[in-house]
Amino acid sequence: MDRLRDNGSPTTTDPEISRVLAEFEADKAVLDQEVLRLKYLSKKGGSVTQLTRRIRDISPEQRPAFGAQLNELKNRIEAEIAAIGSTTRDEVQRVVDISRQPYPLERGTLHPTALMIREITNIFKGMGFDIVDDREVETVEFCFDRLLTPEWHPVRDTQDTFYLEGSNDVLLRTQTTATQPKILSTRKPPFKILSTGKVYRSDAPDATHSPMFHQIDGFMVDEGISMAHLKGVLETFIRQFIPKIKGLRFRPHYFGYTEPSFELDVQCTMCEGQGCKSCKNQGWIEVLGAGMMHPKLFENAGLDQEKFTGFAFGFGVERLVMQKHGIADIRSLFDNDLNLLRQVKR
Amino acid sequence: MKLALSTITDYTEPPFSPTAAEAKDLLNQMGAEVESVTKTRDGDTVFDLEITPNRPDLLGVVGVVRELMAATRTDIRATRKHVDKVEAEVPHKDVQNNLSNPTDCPTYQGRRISGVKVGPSPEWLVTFLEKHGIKSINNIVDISNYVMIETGHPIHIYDAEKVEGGIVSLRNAGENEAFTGIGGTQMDLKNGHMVIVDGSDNILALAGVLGGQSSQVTDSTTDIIIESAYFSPQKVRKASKANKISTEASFRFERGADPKIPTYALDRATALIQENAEGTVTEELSYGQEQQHTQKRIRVTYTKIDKYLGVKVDKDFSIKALQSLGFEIVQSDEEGIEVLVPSWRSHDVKRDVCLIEEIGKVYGNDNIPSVMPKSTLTLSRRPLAQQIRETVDDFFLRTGFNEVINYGFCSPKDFEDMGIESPSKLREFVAINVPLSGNFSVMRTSLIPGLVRNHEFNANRGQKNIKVYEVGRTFHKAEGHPQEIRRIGGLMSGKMAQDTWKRKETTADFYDLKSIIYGLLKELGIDEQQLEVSPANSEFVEAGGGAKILIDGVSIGFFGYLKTPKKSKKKTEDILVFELDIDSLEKHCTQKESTVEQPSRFPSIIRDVTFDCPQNFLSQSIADTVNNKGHELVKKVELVDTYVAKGSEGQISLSFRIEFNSAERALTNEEVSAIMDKIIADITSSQQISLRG
Repeated sequence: MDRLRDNGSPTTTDPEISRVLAEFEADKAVLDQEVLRLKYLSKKGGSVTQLTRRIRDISPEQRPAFGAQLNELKNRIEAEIAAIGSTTRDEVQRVVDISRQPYPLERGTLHPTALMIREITNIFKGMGFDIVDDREVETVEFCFDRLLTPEWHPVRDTQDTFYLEGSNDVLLRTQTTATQPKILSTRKPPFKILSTGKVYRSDAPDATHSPMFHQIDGFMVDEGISMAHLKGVLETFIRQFIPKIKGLRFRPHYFGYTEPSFELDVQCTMCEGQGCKSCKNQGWIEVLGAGMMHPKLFENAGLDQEKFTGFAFGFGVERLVMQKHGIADIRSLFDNDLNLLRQVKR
Repeated sequence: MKLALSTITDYTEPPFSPTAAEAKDLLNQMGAEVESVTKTRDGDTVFDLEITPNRPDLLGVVGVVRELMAATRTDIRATRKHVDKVEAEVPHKDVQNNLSNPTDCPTYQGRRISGVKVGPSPEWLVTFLEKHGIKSINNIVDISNYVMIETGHPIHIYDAEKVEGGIVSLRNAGENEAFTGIGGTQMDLKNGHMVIVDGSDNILALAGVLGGQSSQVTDSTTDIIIESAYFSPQKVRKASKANKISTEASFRFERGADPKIPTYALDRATALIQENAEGTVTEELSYGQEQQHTQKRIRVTYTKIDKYLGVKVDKDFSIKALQSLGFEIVQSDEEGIEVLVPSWRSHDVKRDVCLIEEIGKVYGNDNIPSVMPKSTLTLSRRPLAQQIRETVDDFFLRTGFNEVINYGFCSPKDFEDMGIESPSKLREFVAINVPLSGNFSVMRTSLIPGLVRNHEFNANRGQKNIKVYEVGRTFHKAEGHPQEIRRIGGLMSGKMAQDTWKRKETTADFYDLKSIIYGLLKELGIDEQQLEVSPANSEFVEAGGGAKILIDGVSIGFFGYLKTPKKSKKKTEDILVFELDIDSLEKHCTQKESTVEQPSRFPSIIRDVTFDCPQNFLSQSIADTVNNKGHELVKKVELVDTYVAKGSEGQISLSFRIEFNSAERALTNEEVSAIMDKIIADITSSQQISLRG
């Protein structure tokens, strides 16, 4: 290759070869590999091919030198075209501060309570539950009567329930369970339902009470639904919801609309059941209430209680949110302090 | 309810002595939840139990021990202390039951004991009471409490000398009749309340709730009358509630006493008094027979037991479990059993599933397997509202809004403070009958006041850029049942994002909010073309700075600059708010068929044009004119710049970029110029505007 440039060499480079070389040197910076190949090496009209044809016009004594120069040119152009693509043209040395804090993408957050409802409903949706968003203003019929809460029961008292519009029939629902009797009388089993939303109790706000909070109430009705099924579904849910859970127990309890009734306790994950501050030395933490739906609910809805059975469960969401995030005062969930809300991670 | 570990041993035959840990597990298994465990000085352990309201029988130690022993699956049973039948030849007096509903007290037993010596209780009694949460007073009062803790049945002891005529009878209180209870509690009784009165019609006690101060046992008492009766749960509850007084007695009676225990409790108290305070029985008083109570018969089949629990339970096991809890088997065959419900469970055991519950408890919930149900596959219904909710949440997550949750109730003052005066639809509140406070007296008619409060809370804590949203219901007066409307509300102030090393952000304005709203609606499947805006008529936003959004002429919400109330003295920063009505926009969110247009293979020609317009001009009308003139070659009209030119104050210059394209051919400059001329002519003729040259 050197010979082509070396002016002091005994043989002078053919002017046509020099022209093609100069043209190539200019072209190679701007043209693509394929375009260069066509322009210089194409068998039809490539510049180098055309030079080859010129060999007939060269005197025999000059032919070897011309031939050698032409060969060299051809090899060089071939090599350079082939090399295009394997190296970047005009490479620039970049300097970035890889440690610089990234430009933050603005992301919003869900309220921690709403996020937990979303996580929980997603698990039940995965098991085929339908999600219901029922009304918040209810009647005594659905909130109490149809749920077998007798008239003299304390929860029906004005001290525990918000009644509206001067009436003693219209109220703010005290439980999302009010959905159960409605579904029972309007849908045909089998069904699996999760009713979520706000409920209201006439409790003066303090660290552990709020006059409004969120509840999730679920139930499943089909032929042959048993306690074993209730255990199966709730255990599946809990293990998905709190994967590190070790033990759980179904402790007998009492609710008017289930029989038998239970509370589901999970072993405290902080102390593994030994008893610590976070489980108030109990070793267990109560998560939800559950039970087999009372046969009377089926009778009242006109369903055959010997044919259909079902289980139901329900729980308050805020208590779980407080436990999960170590929040000591329920009221702070309604302050909507951005310093708290912005910490919520999906 | 408290239970000492030593008490278990004391009330079992042969004596059963579990460790504290064993006892705790057994109690929990049966649903007598152990809330806390404490050690006493004498090395005993005391369990504090949470007894559910359906189990008054567990408000006495014998009942709790019976329950616990059933869980051991042994043959050891809880026993109550034996008492000899009192057989004194004494005069008998009938107690007059003058209640308007005599069955509110079906049985009343009384006994007069004369010559008792009131004094301190023996050590064992003081210790027992202390462990079970009761302070010792004197031997007579302590024995009364002791019998209650033991049997779960409250009895009452009167100073007989204070009972005029030595007789007692029952009647309903007169309206506003005065009564002073033990401890000096003054009460205004109501018509329905049951009272015990003496021969001179003086009230001795509010039945089942509290004894009277005048007849209470004192150190100088020598003659006493013991009362052991059954009072109606509803009546006791009403009296206790109305007088705002809850006692150990009312707590038990209102849950339902054992109708067959009054005689035993009376005999037990008599024996203990004679042992510890001497005295002789001098008179018997009574109304009704406790044996009148008929036990309920319930049949349960083995198939149903297995089906309900989801596990095969041995027949013998079921029989033994029920027997250990005091159920009497009256019939047993291949298919099932029929039992008599013990009197102490007459309030809660009503049907076969109640028996299954008992068998399940003894079987142990832990021994029931966890099984996933096999169910008919059904199509899961996912209501549109829920899909909307998820889309809204996802959209605001991406656009940097923080979700808030506010109370459903508020105060009319919240609306007043925002300058919303009556008459206004926003002030037609659904009222709460008995609110917790003035702040919570009505249901909200809008999400905006709550969001403004959130803004204030956070601004006061130094937050500069605030973007919050809420999805919730508002409540409105309606014929009959109040109406609920599901809404999306939001508020923004400060900058759209925080400043960074990369860029300095601009303050959020009307147009930022509009892009948020249009973006959200687009996400919900509503195209810009479906939307219309007109000047806002919401009372929350400024007259010149707000818009309402309509679809097909129906308003779905509003957005704009929050009105600053006239009263406000503070210079406030710009706050932008919006509120959309999910119920109105829901029907437009149904899934549309998705179609795509084949992109043109030919290049577009783009032309920019600027018009001088009046300052209050609605720029959309230019785009509308271009589109309405409907030249099919116009692909897009876009506002690219706005400015106030020098010398043209009071006017605004709007620059539009118009894109021309054909799917069939390459357009020529000449034809586009011709269309442009026509468009410009249309606009300048139909609007109060001129072309900027």
